[in-house]
Amino acid sequence: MSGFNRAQGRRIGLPGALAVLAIAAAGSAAADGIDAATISGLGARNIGSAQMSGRIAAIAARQESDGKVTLFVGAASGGVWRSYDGGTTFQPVFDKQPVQSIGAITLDPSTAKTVWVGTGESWTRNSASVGNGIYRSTDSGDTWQNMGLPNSERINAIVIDPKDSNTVYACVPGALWSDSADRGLYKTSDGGKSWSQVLKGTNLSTGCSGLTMDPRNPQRLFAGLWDFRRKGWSFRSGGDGPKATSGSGLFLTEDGGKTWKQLDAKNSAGLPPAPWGRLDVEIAPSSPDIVYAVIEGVKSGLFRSADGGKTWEARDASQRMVWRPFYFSKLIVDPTNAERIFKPNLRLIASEDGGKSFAVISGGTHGDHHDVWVNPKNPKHVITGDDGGLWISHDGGNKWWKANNLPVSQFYHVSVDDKDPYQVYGGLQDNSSWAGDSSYPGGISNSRWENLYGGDGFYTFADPSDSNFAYAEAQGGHIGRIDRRMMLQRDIQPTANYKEKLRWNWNTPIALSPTNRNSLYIGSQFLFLSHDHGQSWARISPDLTTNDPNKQKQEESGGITVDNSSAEMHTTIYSIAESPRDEKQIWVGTDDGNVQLTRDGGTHWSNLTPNIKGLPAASWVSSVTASPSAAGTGYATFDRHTYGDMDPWAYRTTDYGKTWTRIVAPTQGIRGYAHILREDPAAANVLYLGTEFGLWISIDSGASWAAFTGSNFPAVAVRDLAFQQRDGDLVIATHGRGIWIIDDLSALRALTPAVLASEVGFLPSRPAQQRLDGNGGWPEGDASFLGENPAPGAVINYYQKTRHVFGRLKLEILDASGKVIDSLPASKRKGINRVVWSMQASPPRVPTAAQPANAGRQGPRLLPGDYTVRLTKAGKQYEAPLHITLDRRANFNIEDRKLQLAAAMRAHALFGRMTDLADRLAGLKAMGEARQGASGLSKGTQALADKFVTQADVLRKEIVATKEGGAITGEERLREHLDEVYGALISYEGRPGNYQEARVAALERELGELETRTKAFIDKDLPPLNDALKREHQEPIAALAAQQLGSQYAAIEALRHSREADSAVAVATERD
Amino acid sequence: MFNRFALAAAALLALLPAIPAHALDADQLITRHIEARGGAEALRALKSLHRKGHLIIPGANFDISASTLVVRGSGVRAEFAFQGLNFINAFDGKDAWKVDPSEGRKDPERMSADEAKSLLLQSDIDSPLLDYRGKGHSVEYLGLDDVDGTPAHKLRLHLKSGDEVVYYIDPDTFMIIRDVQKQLVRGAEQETETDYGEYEKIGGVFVPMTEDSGPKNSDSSQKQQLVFDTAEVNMAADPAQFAFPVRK
Repeated sequence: MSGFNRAQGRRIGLPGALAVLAIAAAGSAAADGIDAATISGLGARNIGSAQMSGRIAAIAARQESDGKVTLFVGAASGGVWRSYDGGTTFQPVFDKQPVQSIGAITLDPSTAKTVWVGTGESWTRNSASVGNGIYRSTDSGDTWQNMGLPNSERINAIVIDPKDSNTVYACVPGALWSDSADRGLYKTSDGGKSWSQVLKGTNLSTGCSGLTMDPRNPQRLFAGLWDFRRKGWSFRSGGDGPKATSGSGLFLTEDGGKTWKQLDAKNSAGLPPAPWGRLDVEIAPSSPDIVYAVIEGVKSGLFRSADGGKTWEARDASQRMVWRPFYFSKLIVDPTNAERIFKPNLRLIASEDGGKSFAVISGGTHGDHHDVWVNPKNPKHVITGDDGGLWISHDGGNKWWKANNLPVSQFYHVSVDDKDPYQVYGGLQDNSSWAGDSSYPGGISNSRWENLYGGDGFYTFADPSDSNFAYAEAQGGHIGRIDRRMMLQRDIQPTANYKEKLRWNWNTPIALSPTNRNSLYIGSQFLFLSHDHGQSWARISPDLTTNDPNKQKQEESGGITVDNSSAEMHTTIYSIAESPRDEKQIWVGTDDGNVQLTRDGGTHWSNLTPNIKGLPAASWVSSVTASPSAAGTGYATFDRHTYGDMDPWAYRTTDYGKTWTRIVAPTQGIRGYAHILREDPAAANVLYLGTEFGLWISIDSGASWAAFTGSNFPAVAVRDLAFQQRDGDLVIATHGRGIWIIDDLSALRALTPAVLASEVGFLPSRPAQQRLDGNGGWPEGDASFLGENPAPGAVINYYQKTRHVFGRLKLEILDASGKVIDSLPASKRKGINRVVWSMQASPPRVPTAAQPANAGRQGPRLLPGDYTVRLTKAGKQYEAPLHITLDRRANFNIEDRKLQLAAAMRAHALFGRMTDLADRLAGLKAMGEARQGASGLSKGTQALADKFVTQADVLRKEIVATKEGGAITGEERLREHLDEVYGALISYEGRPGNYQEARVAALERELGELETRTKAFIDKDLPPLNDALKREHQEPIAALAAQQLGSQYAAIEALRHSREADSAVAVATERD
Repeated sequence: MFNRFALAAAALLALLPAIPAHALDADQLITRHIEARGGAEALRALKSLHRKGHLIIPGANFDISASTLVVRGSGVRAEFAFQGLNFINAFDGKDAWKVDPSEGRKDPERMSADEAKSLLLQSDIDSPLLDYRGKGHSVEYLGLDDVDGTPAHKLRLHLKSGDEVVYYIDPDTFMIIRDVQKQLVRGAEQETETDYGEYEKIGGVFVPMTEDSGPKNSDSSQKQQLVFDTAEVNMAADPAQFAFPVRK
């Protein structure tokens, strides 16, 4: 960044207005729709954040022979991240795969570049995503191949035979929400071509939860089986209670899985009595007769065997060891020390005495740990992953360094405000509720996000009636109103009546009224409405759920170990939407299958579910949204994955719910259960759908859909969508990859059948502003995420039917007079293309000096006004107008701006005059030097030539700094002085200071004097020299020739201006 | 201009046997690509390629001229100039060097062997894919992969040096539309992604007139763009310009 001053650092604003000329935009979209290639050129920018990061489910690493650490991190719902530098930088390497939930990562111990990934995390909380099998990469994650187990849903561990890379075991807990035979322990002996199920449970809900191989004997493995099941309203680890039969158990094979022996309290002394829940087992690598098992049971705890599993001894059973066994059940034994054990839990705990005692070592980490890696070549180097990201310790796990470079944040919901630039609000799984900038000078650093609340975060809104306040909530409907000036929180959750229990969903819905900025809704089983920011609440509905008592037994939930965190609360309102067209029209969806509508503000309610044909009963209503374009039109998505149905379901009604049409189904190529569907507020035919596997867009009202994959947007869960209507942006809440923004939907909205049928044509953009963007940010090193800003300029959108490969694709900007003022490299992709124009004039011609003139690298920004964009392709020209305005935030007007540009261009022109003079003097000097060396020159003529050369150089050195050598010379001449004031003039676009204009005038005067002196020098010194040269039959120096050809940089200058019509160096005055 | 080149490309492609995309192996794909570029003979006949244009840096409107010169058997030289200051990267087949006057010094500096890797690759005027076996490279076909909406053939070239290049070849024209060069620099992997376009036929060979480069997976708007206005082949070139300048 050295030498990069404020003028260069400026980033210039938001895109510009392009009206469609080539293609008329009208009517609804084509019935045959679009594909991913057509729409993905819209691009999207990820604004993170990595400040809160997200749940890490698996870690695998290796210290290489050169000392560097190769690190793979599996995010619970954000893909695989690879680091070759121990975590300083990461690359997401799984983004092109169809799922993003990771359960296990294992590096092949004998083949350096082979990596196996099991998809679908095994930390089976209510919000866990799903996988689709096991993957292998043989190039360290650059490419992946699905190696089978497609119905495994989640994989807990992968173990590779260290003597045979083709022998691999996959520990498959399997389906969380339904019976499945595709679970247990699988083995391949042919590198994944075929798999055999070598161990399975006694029922269809028991899968594999733990696996360990004896490093001395790869035929010897312990495996844990786990009986578990989650429903929308309950969870069990083990059987249905502490005494119920469970399929869980510990097993040992000595023959590579052909035969197994179940180890239990009867045949292996010291093991706890059945029933068991979740368990993990781990052989100490450095002393394989020592085996540890953590077992959930009536008396959960850690067990240790010192004789290879024959007998066991109970060890630690503290609360920190046995807390929430379904969520924390992994053991890691230091590969160099059999007595050093790590147990990820709510806190990370560690033992150095073989499990007799444990201490909390998680220090300043987030908490809720899931995996640990201990460097076998340096056991003080420990890496752990928890619900808040990745943490690295270099002192054996006492102090932790946070990886602030993993934007795997798991948002549930998103909203925006109307600030300029707007802020984004959202709540995250186990990571509170936040507000962050959608744009910030220098990029959106982690520190641009502000924590608003606490707990797990969900709906978060700016208070539209007072920007000093925000609403946020924690799990179970704990809504608060936050005074952002002091970060004060006020609990405003509605309370229960006498002997009443309010049922608040884990992800309780809050909704702002689109018609009244003081109104706020929240739903338990009842709908509440406040008109005074939560000071008072009115119940405006009866119980809108099925109120099924069989789904209200959460106090019995958990299986062997009770677990009632509100994550299983059911028969609750889950979605609320007031119609933007009618404040009395309120739609409600419940988690137990009801879609309810009131048209009178809550006095009367209609259960519309019976009208939704083809929808299975009790389908979780994941969202209801009211059409912004038509009263009576609404959308509902249904999430049936809690029944094991991963298909997308969504319906639309246009008659207040009397009839419904299914508009989302797998037959349309859509994958993943549906979370949210929203209608574009500016184009009713354009719909956006978020599913567990990505974002899908329709331009034909749902008849067809295309996946959005722009900017490598992965198949991550899209949980919510928000529109920033002033800017026309779509803000995407992903559950695993943070917030993404598609800037300016105008081009998408204009995709019509005519556009899609054309070879090429312009598409509209939002009105272009000349955004004022200051300097911000500061170097944070490489280990920090930086969110991307909007494009810095006027965005030009156009459509191409196919990728452009051969011949020129020319994009030009014309001013109001029709003169071409700039040309831009065109984007060449299929579908929507975006090109950014800086709106700047060409940089000035700057005299060559020892170092670059910093400000002089750039031209000033041109005036707002009317321009034309011209695209030339295949001999055809297409044009569209481009209207540019001032930044709406500017505190100056167009007249100020004209004065600014005039002053800047005066300096700009001065640079040109200066260049001409400097070039001329350099040329005279060069020609003089050529004569100095001529043979046979008399002493007198030589003296004249010497004097001439010296004087030319003296004059040039008054124009530019010439001290070379790569130091801070502090040498300032005319050029350097002009660069200083020019930089000031172009970096602030309001009215220039009088002193700045005076400075330019002063420099102009100084230059004029130099020009006069140069002329005098030529007039005085050149004739006698030329006379002498002629007398001695030498070629005289022509003053004009010097001007045109003499500069030693003429060739470079000619090259520089070769694309321009006018001559590069023949002009005597500034072209601009 | 466009029509002529487009027609030439179309005519060339029409002469090629129709092979279903899925049936291609690495060698067939390379054959189709080499033929699409103008054929092996035409490539081998190239003595030099000199392109001139300008360099565009995202977010700035600097006026930077650019030229790249490759001469068979002699070397490669890239020059970038603005405000009369000339930045040079050059390689003579043995030594690589540069001139970087941005902080006030104009004397040449030697590049490390790692820094020279991309110049070494550029110095192969044929394309590293032509006669790749003879050059000590090997290839691996990786199937189809999306390049901004185009399902491109993906081909990995394992270079003799140990580095690799992944090429993305347009399934319709068989031209390279992207490559990702992976190089070990000071023991750390560095990947550069370059998009190629606006091919024009110069001296019997299709040459990309735009090259947009940036980190792997960067959006096109974030890449620095080389836009060439002219290209010239087989002109005389002084071999001395590639060698490390000797101080006089």
